[in-house]
Amino acid sequence: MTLLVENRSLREAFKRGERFALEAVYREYVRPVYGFLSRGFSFESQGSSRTFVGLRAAWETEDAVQTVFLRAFSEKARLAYDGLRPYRNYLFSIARNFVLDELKSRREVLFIDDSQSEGDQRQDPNESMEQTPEDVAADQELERDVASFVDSLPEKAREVFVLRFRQSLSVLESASRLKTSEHFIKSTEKQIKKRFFVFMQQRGHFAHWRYDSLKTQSLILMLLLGVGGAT
Amino acid sequence: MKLPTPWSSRLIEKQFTHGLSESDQVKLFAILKDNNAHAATYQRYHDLEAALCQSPKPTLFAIERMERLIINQTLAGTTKASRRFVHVWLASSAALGTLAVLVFALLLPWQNKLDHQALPENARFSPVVINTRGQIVPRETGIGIRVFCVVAEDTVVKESIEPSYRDVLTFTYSNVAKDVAYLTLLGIQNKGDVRWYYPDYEGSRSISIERNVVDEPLGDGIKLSVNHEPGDLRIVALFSAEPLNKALVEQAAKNMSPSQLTPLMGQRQDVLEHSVLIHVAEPMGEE
Repeated sequence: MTLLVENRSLREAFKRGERFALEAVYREYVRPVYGFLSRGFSFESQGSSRTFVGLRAAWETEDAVQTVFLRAFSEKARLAYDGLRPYRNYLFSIARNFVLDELKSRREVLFIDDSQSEGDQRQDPNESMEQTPEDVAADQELERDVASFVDSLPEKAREVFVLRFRQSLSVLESASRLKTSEHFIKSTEKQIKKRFFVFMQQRGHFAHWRYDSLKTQSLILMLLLGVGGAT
Repeated sequence: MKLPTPWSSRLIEKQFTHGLSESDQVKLFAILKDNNAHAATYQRYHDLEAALCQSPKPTLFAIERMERLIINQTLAGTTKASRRFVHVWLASSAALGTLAVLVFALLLPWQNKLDHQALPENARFSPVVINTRGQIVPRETGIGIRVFCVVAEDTVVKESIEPSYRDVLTFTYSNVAKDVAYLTLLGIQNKGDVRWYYPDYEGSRSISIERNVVDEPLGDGIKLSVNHEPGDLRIVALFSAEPLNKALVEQAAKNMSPSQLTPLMGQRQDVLEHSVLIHVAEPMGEE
């Protein structure tokens, strides 16, 4: 996690905005930033301690991650990074400012006044709900159906599947391992995804899903804890 | 902004199967903000993708989706105005948001938004007749477009057909050229009247495209009965390493006749141009 501190040539290339350096930095830090925005953080506001409990919806988190990196990768921000302190901390401070500056007025973003939450300030709304027997059964069914889909893949597609979906290799690495073209990997991957979603649709994995795990639980928590703005 | 459901659903599906262009992703996120049902569908795709990959979130594919936009926009050197729009939208109150949409909708030429539509389920396509003498071929063979007409499901697809203005067109592109990452696709009729396909009428610059693809569908259907008229239609595809500004392209198209055989972007070395001339016929019985 000290990529830019230790690697001077990469740091220089990053400051110049070269593609390979931007990609390397992004790959190194995308998971921590995603985690930071999903898990949330505590902060002081008007003398009281508050907690941002994190973004719940996938699209919101992806949108926020993109914005944080776009800010961090702007020329001004790249040049402002001193190369002495860990870049991760630099990114987290940008992420923190983004949340406080731009999202605090949204009611969906939870800011809990810690003094009102009696020490339970970092409670995760999703974790707070115990899994019902139906949830457990649904998870098991999902697992079975995924396994059955994977079993149905033709041999060549399964090779691509293993490298890309399970081992998370890049398109280039996968193509090199299988001695094939990047285009073949990409098109096979698209076909697998298309087939998978159709397969899951046919098995009812879209029909029975309700939009309840994100906002409903968050709103209940807000009502229970008395949520206000960040300032 | 509530857009037609099939279109929005297609955008979500495409995000998880093919990936979206930057402008479409911005549109999609604005829709998700405003529509819980679509946000739920997006979440479901996301969860299923994680289940398939058996990986903690974000999955490799989510990482690649975000990376494409971040790197492209950083290299383009701008923070897109449209992204700012999403965040302004997100930060506004519901009432202000609704008001803003109403004003936005009233200010835009309404008809311009309606020529893009989702293609019918199981749509069949027929190539469109190209005027071979009206073609401007690119300097490099690594790029190009093909124009198709959507035909009824029970139609026997002929080799190629001449579309009428009741028809719907759709496009594919190929890009195996080095360093090409953006596409601008437009139509020209009469004396320089521009019909915007990609970006659409709301976009401000080229869309990002995939590399090393052949006949990659662009996805939307273009209704010729909206914004178009019978007669010659020049379809111009501009492939470039950097995004082109829409206003610049519009300026270049000013006073250009569809039959004119001059490259729209002149001799610019950084733009590869493929342009075809087609004829939009009056529908049968209305001539």
